[in-house]
Amino acid sequence: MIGDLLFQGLFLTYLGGTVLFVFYLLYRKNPLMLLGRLLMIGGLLFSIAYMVWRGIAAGRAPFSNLFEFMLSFSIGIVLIYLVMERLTGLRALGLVIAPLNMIFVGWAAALPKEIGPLVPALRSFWMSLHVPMAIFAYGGYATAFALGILFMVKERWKTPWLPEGEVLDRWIYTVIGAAMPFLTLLIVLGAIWAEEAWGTYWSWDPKEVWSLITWLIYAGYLHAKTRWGSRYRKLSAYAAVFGFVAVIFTYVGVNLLLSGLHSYN
Amino acid sequence: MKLERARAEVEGFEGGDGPEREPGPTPSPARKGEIEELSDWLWGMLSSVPMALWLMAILTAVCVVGSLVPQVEPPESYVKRYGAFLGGIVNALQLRDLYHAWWFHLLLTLICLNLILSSINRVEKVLARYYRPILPFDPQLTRPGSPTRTVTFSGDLEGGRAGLSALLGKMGYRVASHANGRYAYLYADRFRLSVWGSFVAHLGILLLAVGVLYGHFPGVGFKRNLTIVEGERIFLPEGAFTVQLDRFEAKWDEMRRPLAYQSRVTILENESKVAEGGVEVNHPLAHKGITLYQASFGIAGVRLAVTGQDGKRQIQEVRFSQRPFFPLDHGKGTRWLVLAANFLPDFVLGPEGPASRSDFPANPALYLLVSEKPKTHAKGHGEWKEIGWLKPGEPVSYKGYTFTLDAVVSYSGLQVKRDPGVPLVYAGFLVIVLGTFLSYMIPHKVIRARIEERGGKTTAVLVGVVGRAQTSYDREFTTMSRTRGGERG
Repeated sequence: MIGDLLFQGLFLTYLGGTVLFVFYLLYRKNPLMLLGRLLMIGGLLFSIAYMVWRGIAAGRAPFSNLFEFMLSFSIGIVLIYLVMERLTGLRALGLVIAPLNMIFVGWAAALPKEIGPLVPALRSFWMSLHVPMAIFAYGGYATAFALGILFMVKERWKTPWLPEGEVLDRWIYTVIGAAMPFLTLLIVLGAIWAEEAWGTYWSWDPKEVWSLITWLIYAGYLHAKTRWGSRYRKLSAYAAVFGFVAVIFTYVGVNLLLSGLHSYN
Repeated sequence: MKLERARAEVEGFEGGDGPEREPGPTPSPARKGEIEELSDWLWGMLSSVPMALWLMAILTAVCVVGSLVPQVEPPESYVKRYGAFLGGIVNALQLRDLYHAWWFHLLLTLICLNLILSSINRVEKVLARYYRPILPFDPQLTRPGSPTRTVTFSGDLEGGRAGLSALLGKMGYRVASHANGRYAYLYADRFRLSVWGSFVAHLGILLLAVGVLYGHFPGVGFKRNLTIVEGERIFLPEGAFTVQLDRFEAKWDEMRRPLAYQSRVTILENESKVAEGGVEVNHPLAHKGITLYQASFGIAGVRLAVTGQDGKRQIQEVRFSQRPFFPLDHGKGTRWLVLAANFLPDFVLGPEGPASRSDFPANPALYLLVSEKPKTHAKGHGEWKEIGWLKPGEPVSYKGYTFTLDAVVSYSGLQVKRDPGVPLVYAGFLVIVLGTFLSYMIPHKVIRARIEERGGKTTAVLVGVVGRAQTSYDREFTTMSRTRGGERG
């Protein structure tokens, strides 16, 4: 079955990439990092192929249940990581992103993968706009999370092969800033869709509330940076790391732990 | 006062963006009145970034609480869930419906106030950045880490100024220049519109707030839920028309997963049909500014056919919400009472007896009981006799009567609303998104140059202004180096 093969492909490729990055931490040989990055690209290609296959097989966009959400999240994380790695030149990003991605891919592997019918509430073209926006926004915040972790590592162990804290800090700001319009668009598209589907653009449903919380955390970060600039760098690295916790809670925590209009398991 | 302060900050600061400076105490020639001092302090505090951060933090905390405490449940359920003490607090502080609590509205009002005041404050500053180039500068004093490039070329100061200006102009920059004998200065910038980003985003939020307020203003919009049974109609006074539910249909698959819900309605005005259509999730129906949304559904009752010994067929409609029983005229003055004791929309025989597999009327079954001596029964002495489970196509006989389950009568839950604020809300959304794109996706690029002629050679020191984000000037510097010939500064 094509689907199964593709999924196994993406799983094993990502696993291989993660292992290589871990080996890099142990042996510090550059080829390990380069090979790891190649495998991450491979995993991404497998993932995209899998989602395309799934979309064709289901006859609709593959964004309708927890399994598909998890895989979309993984695609977002890896895609934005690869783009940012290109822009920043920070190969070390993979050291955080690969294991992080593996958590989500592993979790997805444990979920039921059967393709079910779309619940009436999701039968709308809005699904193809609203959910992919999450991929971009959350992928960006995952990179900011990774940068924050690298910052803390640099602070604590003064690792010579990581760039200066100041450089990492500026990149955190750049990435969080760049993801902000997409997060805003995500919430806005969700609200417009809610108006069309349920007649209310905002009903204080837990998922909506948590997306607002995530937005407020990152907006707060950006405002604080505006006000205090280069001070409190360590604090802003922590903000990048903990903001991502809010992202994860919004994306999956709400579905699993709280009930509401959005529980689509 | 504020305008001068803003100008001073803009002119005094070399090397581009930096942390926003808190307005310091203003020296004044005469002693200020206490009221004036208080109002100045209040304005400053209410419009400040720390205030915004505090308000956002409080809003975040409140939202977390609101997502964890189940909303809009009866007060007793909180006491049951959290105990007397915490449950009491939940009810006293209105945490059970906190998004509609007066103090929550106050919080949102303060946030809007902060937005308005800070926007007023920032307008002057932003205008200054937008319109006023900062010309004379000392490259030595620029912010450390700013991308710098030194370009040398033959020719004189004027030639260098003109040439560099033309080059930057070709790369899309607007160039202002100034010469003061020894040096020539350039201030070239691009994507100036982005400095308005935060202002636009804040304006968008305020527009959104106006839209929300307008829509919720009493008398302007309304929202309520209707329950219409198939075949019935309800009059909407707000629109002066009647909604009639012709048919409700739910579709499901073998796993009882919902596939579609659709109501077919007819709109009537003064008893004549003016419109008809379907109401489905994601496909609402609008008429005269009022929109109908498919919200819920259920089974209202059943239609039974009862055939007596004399062959007479009688149709009986039983509504579950009302009296689920009906009389049966047994002749000779006696009347029986038939009770619809149980209804299972999706009948299945489970280990503990009959149960319903789902809410869909996939396998409807009605359980009937009959009392032959209703009067004695009312006094508590009668007994219910079992007629049995009725299913469509499977009539049940009882003492000469035949009972058939003819049809299941559904009801459709529709949400009806009019919200003239929605276009404003959407406009607010658009403006906010626009503002965030301007702020963060389009960096305001500024290149400053100081050109100097010394010993026949003209040198230009170029400094790219970098804000809080990483902005790259590689492309511009490379182009200029290549054209003019120079080395990295």
